[in-house]
Amino acid sequence: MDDVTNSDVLEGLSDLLTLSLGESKSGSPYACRSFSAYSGERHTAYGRFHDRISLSNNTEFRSALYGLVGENTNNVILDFKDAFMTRSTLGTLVAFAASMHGRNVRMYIYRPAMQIKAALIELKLASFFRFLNSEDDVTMVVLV
Amino acid sequence: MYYLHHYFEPDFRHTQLSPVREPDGLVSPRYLGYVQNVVAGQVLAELIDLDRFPDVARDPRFLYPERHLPIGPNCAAHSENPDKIVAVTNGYVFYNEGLISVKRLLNVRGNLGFHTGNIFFVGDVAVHGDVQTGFALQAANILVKGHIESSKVKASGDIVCLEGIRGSDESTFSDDPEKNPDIEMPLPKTLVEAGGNLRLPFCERVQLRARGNIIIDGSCLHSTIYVGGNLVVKGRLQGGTVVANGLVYIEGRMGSDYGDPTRIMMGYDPFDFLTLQKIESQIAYLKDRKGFFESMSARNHVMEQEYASRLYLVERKLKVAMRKHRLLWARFSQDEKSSLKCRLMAQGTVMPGCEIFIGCGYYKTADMDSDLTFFLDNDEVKSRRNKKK
Repeated sequence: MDDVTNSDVLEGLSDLLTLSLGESKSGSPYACRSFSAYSGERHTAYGRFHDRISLSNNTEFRSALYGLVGENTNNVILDFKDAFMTRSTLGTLVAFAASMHGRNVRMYIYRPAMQIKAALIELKLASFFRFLNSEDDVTMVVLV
Repeated sequence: MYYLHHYFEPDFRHTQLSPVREPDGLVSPRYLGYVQNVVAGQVLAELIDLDRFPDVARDPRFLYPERHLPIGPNCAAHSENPDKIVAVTNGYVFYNEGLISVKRLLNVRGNLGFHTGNIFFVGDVAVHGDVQTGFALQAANILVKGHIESSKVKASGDIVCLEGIRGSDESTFSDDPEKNPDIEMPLPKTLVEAGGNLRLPFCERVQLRARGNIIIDGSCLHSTIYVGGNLVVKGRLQGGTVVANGLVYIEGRMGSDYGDPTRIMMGYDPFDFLTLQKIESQIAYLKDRKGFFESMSARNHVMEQEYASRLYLVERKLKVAMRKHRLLWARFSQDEKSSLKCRLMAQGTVMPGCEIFIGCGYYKTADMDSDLTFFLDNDEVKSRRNKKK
């Protein structure tokens, strides 16, 4: 396997997302704060979340999550690489996962931060989610 | 004066459900929000002092003259902020006799169908009726007291079904929702997947996956089974494919003299094998798409620009899929040592035409026989008669 630095992965991922999400990507109204959300073409939505997500901004987090999903969305990829989540916001994530499960939309978590992964394992919830650990995994998920 | 602000819906009634209108405005008929999931440590409610925060919007039902926390079972006051109520365990939250309670076991008193919608629950589920066709259930451990029809049931722990599973149509391996080419050995649409063990009285036209053991008290007909542990079939095993890596014990008849062949494949990790099949299916699909995009791009310059990005994406996906395929095959060859421990014990009649793969060995039964054990010896699948007591 080639050695890939974080910056290479991020650059590669942004190329892939620009390609798959197209020029019709829309930024979230919350982009100036902790979230960036893009709803794109090819039935795949991508949301990047960073900084601390806690009870104080939980309502905005919830709105950002649901704002990703459109009528024809089949896949949702959530990037929590640089995020910190409390138990309350993990509960919001679980509620979102339940909603996506109910609607037959696949939800993936891309490279979750160690704190989030550890919390999911401690809560015995890791098996309820699908994880993507590399750019290759994201590539395989995006629909042609 | 104090106000209790809720972080869940306090008026939730599971008997008065309707399709949920999500914040994005969409409504799905198969999702009714049957359960309000909470995780351990999640804040459920907060007591707000209205003298300090007079502008808080309030429901008069939850105004209290004194400090009052309606803490019920599996709830507690937050250790750092005693005005908050937190859940102590994963489960669902509801009001019970005026107290906020969390319960770990969800009872569905009836069928899982249009009255409940699809269910995703972080605790254990007991369905007192059937899981009806077209619905999905995911939970930690699952008990179904009725039938599982053509649906998807997934548990991170164990699954027990008391009346059996009967599936229907076939599907393909690929996870792409778009149209796919015909694939050899399509998988049944009905999927029951357990992270632990699986126990059922019978199954027909089903795909079963279990990381632990599978026990079928009756017959297993025309099903595809991936089992990480051992498989016991107390009735007949007829048609379909079993992919296992331990002991397979069949008490009744194995195979049939008409219809689909019965295949037993052992000696490799079943879930690596499943991944390999999925990747091969995806490679076939991507090659088909690539051919289509190339033919469209060749028409004229406008079509070339139109399909350029999709062609690039499909080529990139194909490259990744081929690389994963190579790596997985390399890992496969290292598992051959485990094939020596595999055993297929067929106590009943073994019909001709059964195909048995153990590691790199292959054997096809030519005659009717009974009471045999199949194993791998010197890269060949051999059989011996079981010793009588």
